[in-house]
Amino acid sequence: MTIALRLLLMGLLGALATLVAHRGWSAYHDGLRPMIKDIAEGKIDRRTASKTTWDISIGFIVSYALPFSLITGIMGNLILFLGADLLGVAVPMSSLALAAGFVWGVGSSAVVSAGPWVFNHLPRPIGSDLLAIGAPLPYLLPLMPVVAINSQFGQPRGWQATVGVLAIFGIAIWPLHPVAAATISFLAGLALLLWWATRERPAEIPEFPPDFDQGAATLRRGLPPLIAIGALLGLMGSLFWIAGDPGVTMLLGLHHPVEAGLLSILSWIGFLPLTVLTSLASGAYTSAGNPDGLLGVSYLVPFAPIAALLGAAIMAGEVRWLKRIERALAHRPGLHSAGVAVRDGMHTVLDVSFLLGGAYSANLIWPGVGVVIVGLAWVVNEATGVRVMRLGIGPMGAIATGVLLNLLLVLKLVPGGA
Amino acid sequence: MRVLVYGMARTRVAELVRAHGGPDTTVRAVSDYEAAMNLRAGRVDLGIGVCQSGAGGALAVARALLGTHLCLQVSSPSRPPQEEEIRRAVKEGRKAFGIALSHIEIAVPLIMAAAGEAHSQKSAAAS
Repeated sequence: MTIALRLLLMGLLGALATLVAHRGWSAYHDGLRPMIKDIAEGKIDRRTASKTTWDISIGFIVSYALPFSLITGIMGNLILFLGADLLGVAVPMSSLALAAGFVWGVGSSAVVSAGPWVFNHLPRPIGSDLLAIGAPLPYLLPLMPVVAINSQFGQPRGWQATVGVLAIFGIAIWPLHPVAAATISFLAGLALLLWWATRERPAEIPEFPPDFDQGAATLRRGLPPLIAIGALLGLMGSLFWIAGDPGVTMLLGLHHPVEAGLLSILSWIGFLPLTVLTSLASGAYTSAGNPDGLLGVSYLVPFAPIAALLGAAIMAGEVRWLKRIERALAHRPGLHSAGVAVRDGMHTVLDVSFLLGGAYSANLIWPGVGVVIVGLAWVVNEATGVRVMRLGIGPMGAIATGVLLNLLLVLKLVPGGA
Repeated sequence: MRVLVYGMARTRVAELVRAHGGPDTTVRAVSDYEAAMNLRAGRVDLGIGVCQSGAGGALAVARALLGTHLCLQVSSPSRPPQEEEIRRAVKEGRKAFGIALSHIEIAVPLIMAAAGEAHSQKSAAAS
């Protein structure tokens, strides 16, 4: 029953996300957003646009989001929404777009939900070992604001932040569980970043560009389906069925909703300047709301109907107050730099965390061999020009280790107890 | 030539700009927003941005504030940079260049070579 409901709701979400992209009302991919209206109006032909969209999205779906979703059974936003972007761009008719989006939502959700079942039903089950990929992350979260501070303000402040956050961790770990201590240190680092970022004042406040007014008015056309998307995301977020980035997917899979919520809110800070500017300039919003604020809130709200209402309200608020948010950012230019810096911090820490976790997990699955497979995959990827996103190497290596071991077991090429 | 770099791996991109730019090249690492504002005001000559896809953080804000006609997505994860396309874009007066993270080592030298050529022609014409 639950699984049928889940597939149905994912289908609805896929249909709506495809519709808004098809009509040019919004796009999930920041790189697609500036072009989405021209595609909908026929100024850019759908065939060329589909190729570009595929090009900039496929890596995020396959090596960024998918491994983590298969391991946890939790849908990654990027899978659902980037797929919906592509279908919305490619399909020439609204009704067809709705249908294709629905099929995509149901199909991708079925594949993702089946992931853990498959991993747990192999001759040598690997499901719980694969979850260990996420094990280092809760402890490494405080590094994200520290790396961000270092990236935005340089090494002296980077060191100050390191010492400060370490001191807080050192004190908090006495009365608290290490994960709770790490979470408090993370919050302290984030507060420090925001404090320094908001102290910066602009030499001159740039005027509100007149074409942004037009953009703000245009993007409200998509409000009804966007609000419905907000409600669905709130509902399914509260049930832990859908997550934003891979870090959040793993944290939810390991039952750390508070940390998942906080990481989602950090991501919201990271993407806010980028989405606000691209949305106002292009007259199209972000299909999932500014990622991943409303999901982050939904993880912290245990009652799903309330989370659905909140999701709808947050989406409506973001769209309604977009101009005000832009003005606030114009008065605090440090927040623009903080956005980029936060994304830097998230990328760096997730890369490290999943490499360590991937090696650890692979070695649990096949001691002595797993770590070599992951290490080798990393080195080869670096040497061949980073064709696979770094963050995917650990989990893909661990999955490959598990599949290889099972294959050899079936072929009786390794002793049964390996 | 005044160059701004922004987005991911900014330090490495700045090094590459210095290594492949002429002696009059200055480079600064800034936010995507600051880069776009400065390019729009004509205070700098060139902006180079990097993100995973080459189109999101690397180019979206520049496209939004400058317009698509002044930007070029130099590469995407599955499409390596092409010298001819970069040269043509520089000649057309495009100012913001977005690169996918995996291609910075190839793309930045190509952009700097094309921009340097155009820049020296312009200075020669002016003098």
